[in-house]
Amino acid sequence: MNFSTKTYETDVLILGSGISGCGAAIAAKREGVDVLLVDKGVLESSGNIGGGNDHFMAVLNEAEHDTYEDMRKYYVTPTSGITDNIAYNLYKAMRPCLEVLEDSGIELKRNPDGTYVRSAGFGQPGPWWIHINKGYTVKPKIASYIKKLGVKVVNNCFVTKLLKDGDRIAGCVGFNVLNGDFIVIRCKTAVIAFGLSAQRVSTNSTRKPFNCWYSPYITGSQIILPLEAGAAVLNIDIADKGTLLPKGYGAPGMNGINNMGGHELNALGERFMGKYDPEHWENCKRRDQLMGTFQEAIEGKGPFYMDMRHFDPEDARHLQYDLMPGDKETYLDYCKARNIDFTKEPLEVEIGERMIGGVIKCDDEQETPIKNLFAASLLATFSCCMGIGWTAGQHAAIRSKSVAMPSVEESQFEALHADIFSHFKETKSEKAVTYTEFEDGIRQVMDYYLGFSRSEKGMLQALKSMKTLEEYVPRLEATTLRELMRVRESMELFKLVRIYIQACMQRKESGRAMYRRVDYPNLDPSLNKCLITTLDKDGNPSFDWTK
Amino acid sequence: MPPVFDANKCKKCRKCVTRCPGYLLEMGKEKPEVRFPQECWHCGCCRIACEHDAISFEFPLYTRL
Repeated sequence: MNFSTKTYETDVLILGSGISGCGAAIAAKREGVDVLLVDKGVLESSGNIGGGNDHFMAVLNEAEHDTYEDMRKYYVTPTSGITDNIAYNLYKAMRPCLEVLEDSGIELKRNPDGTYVRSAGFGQPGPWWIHINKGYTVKPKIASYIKKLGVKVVNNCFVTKLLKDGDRIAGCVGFNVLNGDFIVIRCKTAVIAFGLSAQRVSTNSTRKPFNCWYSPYITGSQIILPLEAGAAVLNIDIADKGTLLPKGYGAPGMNGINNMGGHELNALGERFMGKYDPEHWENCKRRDQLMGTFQEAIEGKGPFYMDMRHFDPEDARHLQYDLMPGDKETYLDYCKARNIDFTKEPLEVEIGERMIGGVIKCDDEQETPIKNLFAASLLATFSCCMGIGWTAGQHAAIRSKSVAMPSVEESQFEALHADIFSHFKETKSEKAVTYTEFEDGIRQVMDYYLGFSRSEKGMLQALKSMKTLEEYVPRLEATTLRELMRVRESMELFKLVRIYIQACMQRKESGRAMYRRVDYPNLDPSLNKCLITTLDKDGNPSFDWTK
Repeated sequence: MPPVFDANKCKKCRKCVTRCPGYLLEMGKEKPEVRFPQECWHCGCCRIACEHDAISFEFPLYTRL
């Protein structure tokens, strides 16, 4: 291959243009430095908010349980990986983020007295969730705002490696997925915001890996690239996420359904969540609703439904026609196809696919063990992503004013270029394996051995299967740049899942993650801490615990 | 549930092709074509980008069962 090379230089490099990267870019640009935003996709549609979002969580000191102290109690725990300082900076970023949203033209729903319309959700003590109208417009509007600020945007660039100068970040390399350009970006400081969780590691009832809740185009760069560069990642063992989904459709909207008072019913018509969370019922932590529903399922009490027939008609209309299509633009097309009307019949839901990820280890200023590399994407949800991105961007911008541009050894570029295109072929060989076949293998292992209930024996078996899959890596071949992008994604997923299995084997207990271990069925109070993952010089994971 | 394009309304501006986060679309002679329907996230970014009301959605069988 003989693609051309494009080089860029910037004060602050933001890796990932999802909403976390957007928050980082805006805050960094406000500090008056050069900012470059790079992403595999396109700024207007990249990341989980690309299809929309229906709520923005903000603690505003306007209601009961609406203070920083309430927020701190919820987010700062021995297993969250979030320090008091990070949470406080997030809290301080919420107002400026809201101002940006409104300046961008995003419609936040207000009461007649001018206050925001808000709901309480996910077992949180206060009404922190502001309702958004036409939430599917969020990303294009934020993109327009960012471009007007003068942030440099590099779209269509798949980042394959972080560059270092000694122990500090120096930039990244990647390739343009449309024209094959080899891209080199140098920077004084950087923010990593590639997305908290990787998709396509398991499937829902449709068996279609791209028909999922979060963006299926996020496949683990957030974890793999920093680990390979020498950073540490927390909670790979317990960062699993999942949700109930409208049956057959990878769009949840469960926050709106639960926080407005939806009742979950089993096949017997019983409202059962009180057994699992007597205080919050359905409006509990997402994990607890999923695990409660899983327990009902293994007792044979599925299928499951969310019943909204008792809603005030205006609430039902607002939920179905304002909030849900705001969370995913095609929601009403789905309703039409299945003849769904919240006022007439309960909505069938299912236990969706799972996703895995982790929290990059960082200090109070969100700086990782790699100097001048700051971590975003530490918490889920629109507001936490944007707010934590915001604070990372601020820290990175301020630091960039006092450091020089690092040097990058250009002699390494030839090997990095060769590595990127090593799976690219003019024609496929007889032994070629497609990314689809390979990824199906990863999901087969995950779905069979690492479901909601699992064991040491099963995970050891899973590692054997991953060893077999590894033999197929050299046979992954791509004849187009698009296929090459998918091959690289598959390889990220493979690396992440292999680490994930070994991480889960370290946590010998049940009750803290979105799965149970049959061989360790009880909560172990001594494990109320975070697992730390690093890679050794051979790329194998090693583990430690926070104190 | 890949998008369906109305050739009578489509102006071939390519905005939907550019915006699709899954790189699923290619411009055909009269309108965009969905080359990789199995990899659609049904996010609607193509329709959000379309200024000509040329896009609707056909939900595949697996979402209706």
